[in-house]
Amino acid sequence: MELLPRLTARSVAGAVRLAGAGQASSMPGKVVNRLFPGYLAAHARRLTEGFAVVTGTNGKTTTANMAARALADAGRDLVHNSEGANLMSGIATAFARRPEARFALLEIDEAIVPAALDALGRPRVVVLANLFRDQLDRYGEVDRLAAGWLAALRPLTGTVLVANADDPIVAWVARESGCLTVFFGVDVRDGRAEREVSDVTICPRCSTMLEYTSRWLSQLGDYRCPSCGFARPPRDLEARGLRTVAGHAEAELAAGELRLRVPGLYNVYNALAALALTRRLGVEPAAALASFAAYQPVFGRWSRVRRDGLTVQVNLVKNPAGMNQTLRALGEVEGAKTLLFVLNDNIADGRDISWIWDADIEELLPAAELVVTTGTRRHEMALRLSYAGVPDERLETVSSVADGLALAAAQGAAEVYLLPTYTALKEVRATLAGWEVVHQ
Amino acid sequence: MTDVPAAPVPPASAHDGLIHAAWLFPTTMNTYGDRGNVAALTRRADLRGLGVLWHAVELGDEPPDRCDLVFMGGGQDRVQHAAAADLARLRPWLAGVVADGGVVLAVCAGLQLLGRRYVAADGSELTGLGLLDLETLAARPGEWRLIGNVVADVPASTSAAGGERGEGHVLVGFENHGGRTFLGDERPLGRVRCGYGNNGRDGGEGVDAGRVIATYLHGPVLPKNAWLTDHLLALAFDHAGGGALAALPHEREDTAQHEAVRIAERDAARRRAERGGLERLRATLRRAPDR
Repeated sequence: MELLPRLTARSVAGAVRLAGAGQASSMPGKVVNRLFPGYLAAHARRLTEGFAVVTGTNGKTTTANMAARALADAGRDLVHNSEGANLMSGIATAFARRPEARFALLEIDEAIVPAALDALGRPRVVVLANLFRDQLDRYGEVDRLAAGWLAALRPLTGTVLVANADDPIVAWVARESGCLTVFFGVDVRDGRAEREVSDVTICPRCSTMLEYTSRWLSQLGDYRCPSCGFARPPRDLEARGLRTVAGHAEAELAAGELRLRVPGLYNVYNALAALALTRRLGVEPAAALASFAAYQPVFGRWSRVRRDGLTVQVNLVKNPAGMNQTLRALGEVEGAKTLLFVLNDNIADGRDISWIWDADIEELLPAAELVVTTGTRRHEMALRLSYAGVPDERLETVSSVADGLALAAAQGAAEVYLLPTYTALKEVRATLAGWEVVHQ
Repeated sequence: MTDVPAAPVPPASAHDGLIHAAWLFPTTMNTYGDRGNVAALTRRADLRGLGVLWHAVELGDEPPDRCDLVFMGGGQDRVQHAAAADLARLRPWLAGVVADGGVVLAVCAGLQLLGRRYVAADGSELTGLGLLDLETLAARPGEWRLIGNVVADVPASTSAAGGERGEGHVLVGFENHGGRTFLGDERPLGRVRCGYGNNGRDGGEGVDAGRVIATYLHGPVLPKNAWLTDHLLALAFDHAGGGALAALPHEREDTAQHEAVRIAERDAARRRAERGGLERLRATLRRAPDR
């Protein structure tokens, strides 16, 4: 049963690579799932140490990769869909690549959690990172996703949840699921209760408007329902004293210092989720923190490359919460900056680009010498930035990522921050192929 | 909300340059980039040296006494019900603004809520405000949500296009709605060139009821349809007693509009080609002798 799917996956992967069509992280599994419908379930049953799931709107790939790094450093044998290929096809591809692994760490798209758990069975741990508005034309609304999660989690016995206490809808799902839950959160008491885009400002239990004493990223904050008493749960794992030092996020935890090589509050969240997850799987927190301190980002998640004195840092941006966090993290990084936005509206990006208007660009756009836009909807991105107050003389629109980088170089830029949507990442990867990778 | 006491409107010559605007339920009803509409109105007023004073009217808040323009956007299903309940409370105020000649822009759920009723899939009815003669039927089982890029042509005769003297306009945006809206004694804002519009059948998009304008288009609708932003501002400024609006360039807005129109037309051409291919295949199968 295992051999045929494996050979199939291998030959499809070979064909995809030969055709130069990418990393073959999805297509082999797509073919396998089509030809051998019971493959995922059969393979999941053969994992003697079970599997864990990471899901949520933002941060899945980084959380899963950080956790995989800590598990690998602890000598665990695992299979992991590390390239963000998080649909059924990506999971099957990962299984077929490393069929002998005893444990699987699976990043799963938030919209397919019910179907995935239905196929795979009972996970040991499920990380619920957050639930933000993302590509509504593809996924439906946040409420519907939460209901799907809840229906999938309720029947599970013995599964432990790692859930974001600061996200009301995630906390509600965790509470309602009846699963044992490890709650994580951050303590941000700098009073930055911001006017930000939000999907869940009303109580998920009784639909009253939630009250926040502090709010730091979309609906994440310290909340309470004045009507039914639903409130932010106590945190089993909490980060305090958040700061950015030389572009790297740092914080204090009960288990020790958290030091990352990437900036931003949301990377602190990613690390907290990865820490709770790996602890549940038996990795000592101190060892996990050491692994995170050495963790280098994957391409497109704050990864950095260099050529001829020009450094380019790439961070995927695909929804308003991610845009806000990215811009805020950039505001904490010192030095002159050029920003290059790549806005595509292909199916995998979400055809609807109205989300760029929901991001708090007015408040969060860092000072930049030059702001450039490209992508299929480059003119709308430029209009968005213009309305946010970027003066015409510092706003340019170009027809490709390469042209954007050339323009930045011609204007003497040293640091370019490249913010592509999902499908734009492919053009960015091709454009930056051969550049020197900068370790951080 | 910001509370501003009612004041007599001063004569045009001494006008304070302020347009008073109310944004209904900004925290709960802002799902599809609706803030962009607020940004567009504010921006194009600002560039003319005018100000839009936005009053945020949250659920349960008292509306402002003085109001030249009302904006309401879309929301998720759960909050839409809360909004519908609270809107019933605001009905006398909103009807007063309209009767007084104030301007209303309603987008998506806003359009549905201004109508007479909304009939859910199970047959139950939600009563609307009845400010527009229209009703909305929820998608029946087997009916798709109407999702995608839309281009509509707004003929010169439409009041939003300037009435008899005006020129035609293009309206572009993105629609995402399950409900099918059918107009009674109302005129559509535009005729659909690409996309579905109010119901995917009669070719109408939105409503142009003079000073009440409603549309299914978000994206958001105003930034890249500068003519509509200016039309609303002109009506609102006139209501505020400020007189005529100065001309203002809109190249950047038009460039974004052309980009969106190009993509919507390409999508529509693809869909036609796919449908054509399917029909040819069906025809071939029908012709096949031993089937």
